[in-house]
Amino acid sequence: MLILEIIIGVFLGFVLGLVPNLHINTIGFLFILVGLLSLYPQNLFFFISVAVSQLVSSFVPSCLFGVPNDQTILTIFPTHKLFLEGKAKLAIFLCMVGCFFGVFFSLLLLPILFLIFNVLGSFSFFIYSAILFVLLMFVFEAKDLKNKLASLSIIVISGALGVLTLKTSYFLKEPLLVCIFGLFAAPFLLIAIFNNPKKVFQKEETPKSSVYFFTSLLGVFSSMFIILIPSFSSAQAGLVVSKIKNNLSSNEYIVLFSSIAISSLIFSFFLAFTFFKSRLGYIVVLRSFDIITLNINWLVFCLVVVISVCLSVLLVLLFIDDFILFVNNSNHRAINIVVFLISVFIIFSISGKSSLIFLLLSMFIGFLPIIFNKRRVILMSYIMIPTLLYYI
Amino acid sequence: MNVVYLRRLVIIVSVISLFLLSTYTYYYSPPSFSVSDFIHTMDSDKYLEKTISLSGTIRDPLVKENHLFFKVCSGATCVLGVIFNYKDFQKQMVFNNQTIKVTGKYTIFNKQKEIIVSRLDYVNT
Repeated sequence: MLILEIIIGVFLGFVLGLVPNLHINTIGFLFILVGLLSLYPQNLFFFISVAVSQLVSSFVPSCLFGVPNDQTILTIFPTHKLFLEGKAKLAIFLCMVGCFFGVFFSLLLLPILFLIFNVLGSFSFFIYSAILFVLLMFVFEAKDLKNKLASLSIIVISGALGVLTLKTSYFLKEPLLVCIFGLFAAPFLLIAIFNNPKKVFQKEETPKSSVYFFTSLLGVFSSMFIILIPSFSSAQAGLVVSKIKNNLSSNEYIVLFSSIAISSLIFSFFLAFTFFKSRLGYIVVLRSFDIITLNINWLVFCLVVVISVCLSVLLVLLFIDDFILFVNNSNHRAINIVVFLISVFIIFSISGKSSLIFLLLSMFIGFLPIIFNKRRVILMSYIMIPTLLYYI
Repeated sequence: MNVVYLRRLVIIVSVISLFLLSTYTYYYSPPSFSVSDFIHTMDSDKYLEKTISLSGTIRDPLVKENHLFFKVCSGATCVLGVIFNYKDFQKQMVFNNQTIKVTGKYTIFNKQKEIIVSRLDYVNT
């Protein structure tokens, strides 16, 4: 029965992960809507498998369509670069490498996380200093005063949007869902739809790369410190590491960010089972239905996580050629339109009519880096500034 | 590393993990108590919605619409047991004053605590 739970969870998570812009927190909300949590309250490992599998397969829409959620958000920058070079298959493959090795390193480092959490659980000084450091780097890496001011303006504007939507929940349900899409994905989708750029054919040859063990371990290690702080996401861990170790290649960045994403998820479950701390909305939902309890069998948990990652990576690798064939043979403009409409539909379904204003606002802000020729990554101040203000 | 190598590695790891998990679940024994210890001594609410084993004496077996209801007792302390869509051999095991070990999910139904039995074992007295 347990193995059946895992297999069903993996398949369900795999399918849900292929839907662009669908975050695991939204899936938790959907599970409440359909009553799945009430029907199967004791099937904890099914819900763990869904979460793991959904994360692994969500790298596919991130790589192919440039539509991330806040767990996969940093991967879209190097993966989009590879997509434009016709190497989307390599990008997906590298995400799978990062997930596969990331899961082993994160399980091995669980005892260290336990010790660190007991010692440093509330030691936030160095972490918010790191955020401030990254924000200042965004400003000062620009060459002249005009560019510095442009970067600063974008940081302040997107930060203000973050404070408005994340710190106060009066206006909007699921603000991350709306604004991450609006800031990062929608502008590029719209440009692709209206400009109809020259189709980039993705190479179908078997990708090959180095294993990047150390990069994966670095990602897991950084995630371990970031997970200690409430409201920090894997995206922030990736940003801090990328600034500290900034001579990484695109391939290494992809492995780094995917390792961070998978290890953040595993560490979130670990903190929930050990210290009853929730770092993800999905885990809050599982706890509210008493699915997560303090008595977990750790051996079974580790084996379930490993099996879930292996099966989902296998599924992605099995269908990777089909994904590439689909992208190559289909009308990119039509795909972009469908992806855009699906994402907007999901946003309206979850967040309601009030999300339209915030979607439009975040889209306008998302165009600013394009207009001023800045890197999209500075829009991450949307999450970073509210987090920083929380600790000051 | 390429796709083929990663695929092989993933298959090997998943087969090994599945084997380990199957072996563990096959040999796993749920916590086992006598009924009186479980109700009076243990924090029995901790085991709600979990699989446990309880040993005791059968009382008041009753068949109703293909389901078998009975009590598992230790002295005056009893827990209700139910087997849905019972099999013949299970009915033969469940009779008055038979000492038995029941394994199943401990749950609450209609504000009454009961065990949904998945397995019956004789206990040597």
